[in-house]
Amino acid sequence: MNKIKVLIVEDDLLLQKVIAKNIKNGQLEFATNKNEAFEKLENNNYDICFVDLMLGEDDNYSGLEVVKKAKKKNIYTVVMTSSGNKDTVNKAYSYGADDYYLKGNENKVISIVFQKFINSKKINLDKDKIFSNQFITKDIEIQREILDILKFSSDDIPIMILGPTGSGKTTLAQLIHNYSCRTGEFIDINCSAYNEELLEAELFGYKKGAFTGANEYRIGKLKQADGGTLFLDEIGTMSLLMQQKLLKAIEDKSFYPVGSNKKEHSDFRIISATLEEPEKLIKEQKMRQDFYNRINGLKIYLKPLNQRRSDLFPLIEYFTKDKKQLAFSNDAMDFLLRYEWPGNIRQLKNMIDYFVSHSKGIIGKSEIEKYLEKGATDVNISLSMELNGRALDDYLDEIGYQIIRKELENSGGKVTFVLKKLKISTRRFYSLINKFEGKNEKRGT
Amino acid sequence: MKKEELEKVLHNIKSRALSLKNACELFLECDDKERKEMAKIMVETSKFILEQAERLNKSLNE
Repeated sequence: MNKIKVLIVEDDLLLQKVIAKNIKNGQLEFATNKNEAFEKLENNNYDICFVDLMLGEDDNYSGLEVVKKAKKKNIYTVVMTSSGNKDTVNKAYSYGADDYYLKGNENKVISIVFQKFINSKKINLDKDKIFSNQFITKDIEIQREILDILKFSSDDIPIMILGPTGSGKTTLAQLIHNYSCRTGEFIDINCSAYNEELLEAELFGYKKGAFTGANEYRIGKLKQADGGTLFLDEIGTMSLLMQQKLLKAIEDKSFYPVGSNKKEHSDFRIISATLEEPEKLIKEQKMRQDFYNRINGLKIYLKPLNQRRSDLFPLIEYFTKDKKQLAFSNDAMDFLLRYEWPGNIRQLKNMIDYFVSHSKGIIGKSEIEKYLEKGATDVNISLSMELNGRALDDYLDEIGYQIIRKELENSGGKVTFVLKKLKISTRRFYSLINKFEGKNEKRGT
Repeated sequence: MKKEELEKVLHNIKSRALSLKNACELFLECDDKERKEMAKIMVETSKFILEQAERLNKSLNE
């Protein structure tokens, strides 16, 4: 591997030594003042440049000019500061700095800074792959916002994703996790699918005998996400009491499983998502201000599909990759482009899956209209007449569970709506969710 | 001493003190040659901190 070319702009010779000692695979050069840094930047190519903002005893932040110069040459620039003054740091960012750190912990920080630099290079190289394979979008605004947020993927900053149901929030959360360098798993949970007690059991786990039906010890999502990412979808539906409990677990990185007095530790990164504006939820006293402050590090808004219509056909192409190719009539294509897509990408995917398995020949506008009127509940769930060793009740439960999940997806996780539509009791609803999501920890929503 | 100047002196002390702390933490990991170089700069850094502290002290007694 080629050595990374590093320029360290620092007037403190001792710190130069310290930084150099902490850079294992770098070809290092040093500058102690602005002019020396300018000359080196002009005559050499560097991959990364560390810049102290105050270069000299009575210097007036001449490091900022070095940041500007380095960015002009497209060099990844890291600002070092001993004060942590927010205004100065913001100013450095406005000059184009990519990262900053507080002096004093170089033995820990430098490796993280390097990891972020490598990650950032990878993201730039992967740009096309990301938007054609991992998060399909041609929308320049969304692409820019996602690249911005991915820059922070290797930080532990909590990220909040806003956007309507089906707009790709889980996909984005998974993408952030994939670029995070966190070695643990990506664990997701849709908070709206559980009542308060079940959500607590799901998140924190429980001890055998903690409540009726707790027949064995069960590991919670928080513990499963140890070393990884915990994605909390529809966080706005969580009760205030649960928010308080979760806040404590996030702050302490430890918690008690239900019915247990043995503390468990977990190092998880939080990504959350909500359909509604958190400020509105706070105003309506549905979200605690302290909880919001803790989970709101960076925010990104995903537009609904009807505001990014250029994504429609690339998405269809992606959903039919390695499957039967679909052909639409002109009026069908026109209809697809004009349709409002209330269920967004998820609705589009369900429809495409349906047509992949049911269509014959060119799909016309009337077929699409018929599908959309009918809804997706009774389609796309494959029934087999073979039990394959299962008990009949278990098989019927599984079908019931699949229908519930599908309805939850289509309704954007509206439990009350689903209960009413499927004419089932809350008890039955939660027993099926618990039965199958308990069996398969990674099942998404 | 004006506030801005005072802030700079304090920044200088803090910044160099952090370097000394870092250098101390790394010192045992260094080979003999590096240790010699580092010790020399540690002396210079300590002198610089002293100068800055004296500057501060002088300004308060003026």
